[in-house]
Amino acid sequence: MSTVQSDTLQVLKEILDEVAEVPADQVTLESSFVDDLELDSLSIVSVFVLVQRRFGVEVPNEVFDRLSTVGRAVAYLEHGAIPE
Amino acid sequence: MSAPSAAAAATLRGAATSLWGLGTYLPSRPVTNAMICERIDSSDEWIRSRSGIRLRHWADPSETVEFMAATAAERALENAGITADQVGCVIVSTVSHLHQFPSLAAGVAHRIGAAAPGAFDISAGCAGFCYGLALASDMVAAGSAAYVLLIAVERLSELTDTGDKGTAFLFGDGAGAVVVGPSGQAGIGPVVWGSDGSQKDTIRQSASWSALRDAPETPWPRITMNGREVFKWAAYHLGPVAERALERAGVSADALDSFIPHQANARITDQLVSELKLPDHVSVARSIETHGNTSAVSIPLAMQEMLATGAATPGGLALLLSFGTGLVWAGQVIRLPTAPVTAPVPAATPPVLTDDTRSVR
Repeated sequence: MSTVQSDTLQVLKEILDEVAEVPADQVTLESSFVDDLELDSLSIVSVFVLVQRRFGVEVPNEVFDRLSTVGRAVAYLEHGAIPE
Repeated sequence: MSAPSAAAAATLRGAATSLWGLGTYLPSRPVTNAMICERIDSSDEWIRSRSGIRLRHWADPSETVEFMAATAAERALENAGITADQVGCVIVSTVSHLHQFPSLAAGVAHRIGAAAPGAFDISAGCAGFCYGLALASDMVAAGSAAYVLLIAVERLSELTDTGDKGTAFLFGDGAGAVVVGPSGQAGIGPVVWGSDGSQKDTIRQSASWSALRDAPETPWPRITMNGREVFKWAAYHLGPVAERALERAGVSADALDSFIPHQANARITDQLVSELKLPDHVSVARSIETHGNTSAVSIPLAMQEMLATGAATPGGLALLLSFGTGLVWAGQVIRLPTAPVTAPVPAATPPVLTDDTRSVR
């Protein structure tokens, strides 16, 4: 997985800080929303609502249920497909 | 919260109507999260973190919807300084009056001694108070009634799936009533409301009465809800409704004294407060902690608590915002009632159970 700090990752970090006060330096592409960042299901909904506002991409529930890590979410937002 | 004189000086565009008085009824059975967790695999901490709820009150068998509605109505009339025979119309908002007909409103009107007012029930779920307030204000403004008694009442405990981890902890019972009457200044802003029937299954009764007839093994109909879908819907749609309600009333967020959203879930309230960027001086209703989600009753209960504790200012401007099964939504800016109130306290004892009580339950 790329270690380049993408704009998408940067915006996701801002959203995670806003929704759940997760410090940006704790967020990596490998971070699991649930296991590492300790987001509950409602916080994950809030994250993807803000994603929709910032990126203009509506992420359906069945898709974001499969975007378990920050890296998978970045890949989906950048390439429009759920990573294998 | 601002000083009363400053609050009264704030203006809104709206009907020359206002809330004359307020009354509520909180039933006698306190139910803690620990009690809820006897039936579901959950914890006090989980329930608090997901909903903000610590306590709710459930009705005793004798605390019928008619009894609770009438008691709240009598308290509202007394608070308003109006007698029952001055009431021109009674509107009841409920989803838990377990008779398809007649309306609960007719029975309540009779019970409180109102002299042949118009009386009917509305079905707008958790948005029922804001829907009813719009109707009441329009009726008074049009001259259809001098005073309208609007009552929200729920016994959601009867429709709660006590074994469902997602909703068992959510709901509470109670009643809230207001008297709407004429006013020398605008006191109720234009309603901003709507519905989206494509979401009709998001919060629903689990089975119809006919399903119960056709398949007697069908479980007793209860509230079924896709909580995450509701949360998502609220996150997308409610902020703009609030902004339009402010705009239509010509009120800036800065001029608000308080924000009283339907107490659906503390997390939804938190999200709205953040999205609307309300100034720090605006008091925010948080009574879900001790009342649970009481559907349309939550706004009058929260309003009374905020006025009684001084969190909200009598005569100040409040933004009301609600949404519920349908899905339906409504919001408006109002001037808070000036008549003094005491905080809602649960009834010390329920009334005696009689044959008549059983029949109106």
